[in-house]
Amino acid sequence: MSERPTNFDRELLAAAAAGDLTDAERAVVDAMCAGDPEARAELEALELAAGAVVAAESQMEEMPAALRAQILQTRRLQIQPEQRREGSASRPMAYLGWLAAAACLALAAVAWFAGGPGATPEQAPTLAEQRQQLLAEAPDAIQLDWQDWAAEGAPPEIAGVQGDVVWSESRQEGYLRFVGLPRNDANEQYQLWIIDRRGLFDETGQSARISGAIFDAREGELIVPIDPAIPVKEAGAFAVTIEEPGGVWASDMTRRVVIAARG
Amino acid sequence: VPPTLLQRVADNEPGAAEACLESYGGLVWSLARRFLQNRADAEDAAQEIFVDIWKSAGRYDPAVASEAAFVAMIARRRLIDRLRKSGRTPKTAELLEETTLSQPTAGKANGPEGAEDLAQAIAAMDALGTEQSRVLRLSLGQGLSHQQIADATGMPVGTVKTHIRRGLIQVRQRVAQARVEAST
Repeated sequence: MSERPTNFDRELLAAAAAGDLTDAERAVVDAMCAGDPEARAELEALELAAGAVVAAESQMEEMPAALRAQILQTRRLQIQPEQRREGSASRPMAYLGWLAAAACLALAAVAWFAGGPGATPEQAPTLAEQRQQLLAEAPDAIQLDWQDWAAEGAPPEIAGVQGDVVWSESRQEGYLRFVGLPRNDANEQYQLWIIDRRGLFDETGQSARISGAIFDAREGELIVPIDPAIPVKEAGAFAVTIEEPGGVWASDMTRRVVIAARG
Repeated sequence: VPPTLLQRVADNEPGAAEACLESYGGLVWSLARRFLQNRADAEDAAQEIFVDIWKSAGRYDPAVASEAAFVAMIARRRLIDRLRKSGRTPKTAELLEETTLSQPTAGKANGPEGAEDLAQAIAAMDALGTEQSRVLRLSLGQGLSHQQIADATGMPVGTVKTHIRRGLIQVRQRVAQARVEAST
């Protein structure tokens, strides 16, 4: 097969796909790909070939169950805001979803006018209502207020956030409520950590903090459901940090926001 | 044609993320463990990789590559980026020894996708010389630097570089050629 002449350095692209470039070489590759769609396509083809090699030849090691649970939790938390956010739907299926929602609203209006308020379809409770319900119904529900949280000797990264945590151990259900939590930048998200009787580290020195939510903030009151990666046993404190989008598996807890702890 | 697993993930289909993790969790985790010495770093990286996979699932084109190759590409990108940002940490002598001696398990294609490109990749690797395929495996599958491979194999760094670059180009050409032939 004869190769068509190209304006890019294929060997350099292969080095990029293999992942071992000097800074100077990387700058050349970046410039090459920025100005040449064919170079970009060639780089991706080389990366896919590298992917095919490692996928074909890798000896598999099973992923730890706790990590799988954490990844799936991240996925659930990632999907929920997308499904709730108005105006962000760009996929055809999402567009159809909004059409369906509009049709449901129209039907609800017709039902209301036809049969009065009693004919209105039952609405799912809001997060605020679910939080109130948990407080009212769960005998072991606790409510802990947020406090500013900073490293010793350092000012808090964010001060004056109000709100609380409601948590029921028996139901493994809880809600975070924030007032005044600043809207996060696009390149970061807030993450909740639950410290239970296992403490900060387990007996092997691994992080034992439980990720409980990864979320974005907006103006006004914000309520976030807690969705722990693994069952919580005797929750002692709830702490919020700033992490990269999608959250992290084990936080270094350097960017502290608020904490709520049992007395 | 039924949607692929990644297309189902892109459509937020219930259960698709779980199925994707079931199919490719081992691949991603194994790569993360081999590229990164520290287990906590590997866990962090695996999580980041799957966030990338969820985000990129809509771009997957089954006409171009198998899902396993696509997933491995995303995983390697993230792991290479991590190594670069952290300053590539030399592996311990013990791990390097283990790496050097590890043998590929040809034909262990991962995931439910038809894996013609994986079979072609194996064939292309087999067609390379023993030294060249060994160097390429250490680079692609273990994330070792040119210098680390040179230290492990006793080859000059320049030879290592050439083996990796030209070897990968040959694999890419064979995989692409097979795709073209399959589509005509």
